[in-house]
Amino acid sequence: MTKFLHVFWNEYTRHVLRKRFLFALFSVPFFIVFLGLVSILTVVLSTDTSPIGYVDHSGLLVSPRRVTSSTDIIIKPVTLISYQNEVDARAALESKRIQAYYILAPDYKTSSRSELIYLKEPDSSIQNQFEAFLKTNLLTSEPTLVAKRVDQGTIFIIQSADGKQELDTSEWYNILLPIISGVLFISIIFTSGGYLMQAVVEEKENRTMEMIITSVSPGQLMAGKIAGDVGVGLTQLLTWIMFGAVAIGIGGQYFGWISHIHVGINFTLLLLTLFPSFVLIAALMAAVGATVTGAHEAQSITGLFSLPIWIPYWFIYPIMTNPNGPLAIGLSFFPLTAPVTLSLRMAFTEIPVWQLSLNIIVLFLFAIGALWLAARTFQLGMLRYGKRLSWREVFGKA
Amino acid sequence: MNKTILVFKNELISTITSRSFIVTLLLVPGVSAIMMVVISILGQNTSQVVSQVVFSSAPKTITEGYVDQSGLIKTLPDGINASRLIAYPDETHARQALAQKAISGFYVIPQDYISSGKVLYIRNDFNPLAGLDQTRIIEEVIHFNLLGGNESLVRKLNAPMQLNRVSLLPQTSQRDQGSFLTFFLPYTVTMIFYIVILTAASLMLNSVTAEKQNRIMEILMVSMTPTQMLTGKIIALGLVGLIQTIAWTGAGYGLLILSGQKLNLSPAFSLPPSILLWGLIFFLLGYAVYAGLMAGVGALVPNLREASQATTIMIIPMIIPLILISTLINAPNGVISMVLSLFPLTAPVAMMARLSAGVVPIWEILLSIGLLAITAVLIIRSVAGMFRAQTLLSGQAFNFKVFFKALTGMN
Repeated sequence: MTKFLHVFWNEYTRHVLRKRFLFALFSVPFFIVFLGLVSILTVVLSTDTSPIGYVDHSGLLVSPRRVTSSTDIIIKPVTLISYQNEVDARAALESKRIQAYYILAPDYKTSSRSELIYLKEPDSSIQNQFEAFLKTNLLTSEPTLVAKRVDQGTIFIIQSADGKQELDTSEWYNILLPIISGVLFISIIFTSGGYLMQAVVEEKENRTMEMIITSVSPGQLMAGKIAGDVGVGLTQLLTWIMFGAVAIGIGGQYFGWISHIHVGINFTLLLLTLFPSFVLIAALMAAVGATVTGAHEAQSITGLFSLPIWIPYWFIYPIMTNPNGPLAIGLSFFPLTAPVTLSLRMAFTEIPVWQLSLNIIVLFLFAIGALWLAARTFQLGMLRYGKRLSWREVFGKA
Repeated sequence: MNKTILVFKNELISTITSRSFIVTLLLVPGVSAIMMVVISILGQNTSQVVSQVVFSSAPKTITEGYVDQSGLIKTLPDGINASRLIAYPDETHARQALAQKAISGFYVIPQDYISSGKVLYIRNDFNPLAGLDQTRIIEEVIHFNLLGGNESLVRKLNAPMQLNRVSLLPQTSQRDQGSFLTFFLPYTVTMIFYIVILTAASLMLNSVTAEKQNRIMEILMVSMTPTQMLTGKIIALGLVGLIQTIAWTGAGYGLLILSGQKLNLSPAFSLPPSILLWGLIFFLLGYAVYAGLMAGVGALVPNLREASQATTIMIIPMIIPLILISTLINAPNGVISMVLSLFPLTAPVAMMARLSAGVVPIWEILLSIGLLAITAVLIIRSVAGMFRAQTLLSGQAFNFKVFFKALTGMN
């Protein structure tokens, strides 16, 4: 047991304390923040917020009521200028005092006919502002409360029949969370799995492995290494979650909606599925590392692993709209696609208990199998250089 | 010159005949061909049953119920059948119906609906995504009743304008702003360009690090100058990249014809033929710049693994245009676009985005090419200086101080 701890601790510290790891750890959150700022900036810079004009022949906007509340936090509301006739409006457009103007036809109230004249078509968010303005004025004859309700729409609170799962449609962005966490999970599995494979290949290449084996059993070595790298992955995960929590905390003070972000997934269940798949992939990577002859070859094989893990994302639409359909169920039984599929399904539906427990059992079985495979290939692959292990040897009798 | 040709030949032959190159060259079109065959079989022969069962989205409904505690809903609008939306006196009845699967979900409209705006929506399978889609019906019913049965007003609020858009600028073949192709076409062109340059440049990195690691480099340096070697390598690998691109796009085009589909692009979206020529020039120059930088990294790093870290930072200038791509596409002649397409390191990718998004003044293209060419020559010359025994032999880890010192020849 102490030897296992030695291997574990060595494997863990030598990655976590490395400059490259720390760099990757901290650069990702900063990079995300940077990207967010850049995209907000481009939207703000590339949107023309000069005034919009309108010519009303229909009499709807004789004494217009302004839109009071703006839903858009990034784009400022533009000024709306009324013109008596099209000649004035056109002159204003040509002298660039306005960026575009609308004309409401005399029969607008019945036909909705209207025209938009521009040099360069205004951004859709600007056009939405004018539509909101029109809607407000269409509702002027209604009682204030009714008008307000129609204008703002209904907030639906969607609940499962047993009331355990709930989603507020005004907080739709919570739907995105499971997708994002899936991507996070994959990237972490791959970085830490990659570390593991590197470590194995490297120690094999410089013959350290044979020396270690004189004093540690292969099983202990493999288990220690895998535990160490799963630890590295968890460290990464926790750090990023912490950054996320801090970002939500800080952002919530400026933009109210951010503080409404919450994850509607059952965390224990998620951990139960993620942990074995973590071990499974790490062990498979270690097995690959022990079979191949060099780092170069190992890299191309990792590519093969990544393919099935991404499959649920190719079919994300059918999975999300029909989370209990045959495709979703099938993918959650295949161990490599299971983690992402399950976390997606958990967010969108209730998975029957028997399915979920079966899936988790399958995952655990495969994880144990992969561990056995890793130790076995490792044992067989020792002292053999420049020669690949064949699969027949691995599964045949020793 | 003779030696350059030797290097060129060797590099070209050894790369093209290597197994991994051939496999990737064949695998990419191969896999897409298989996928297309599978899709077409699913689409035509097996009467769509299989694909429908496997890829079906949630069954379209469906009967739902509602419990109106506010007394708001008096009548249903004409379009909505009363058997599709059943009224229940209270929640218990609705829950019973839900448990018996008579309805797939129900709404509870609370007493204070008008002030709070909240409606509880209980679904058997939860599934908020399909749920959101479904709520449009009850929303319409609520609006209809709120506005006292004025159906034309409800419809008008849904679509306030039958808009006729008129542009005052005389534009030949105006691209439709709403069409997704307006964004997607330049985006695809840019993305392909980025990938092609990157793959070709990383071939260079692989080749240099491999030769450095097994010490062949030092032996080579005995009999020729670094510039000769670099030139030979760059031209050879550039050619390999070009072959790969041509093979893939050719295969893609062939598949498209085989599948009997035609790309029905309106004339506004067909790219001018001149873009091919510019594309070729920008690819060659951009590739030369990045391959030169990669070779420099390769000369300094102890092994391939260390190199990957350095290259991520190397390619940041190429990613910048990809981050700002919406600006480049929406305002192809704005200030940001101009700066990005003139600055040599971002130019190849940025210029392709602009060229496929709109018309670029010819002087800007030529100026950008000139700057890029000068940069390429400078980089290749200074990188050649890095292949000195001292830098090649030292096993020190890569860092950017060393890189820039070696690049500017300051040590």
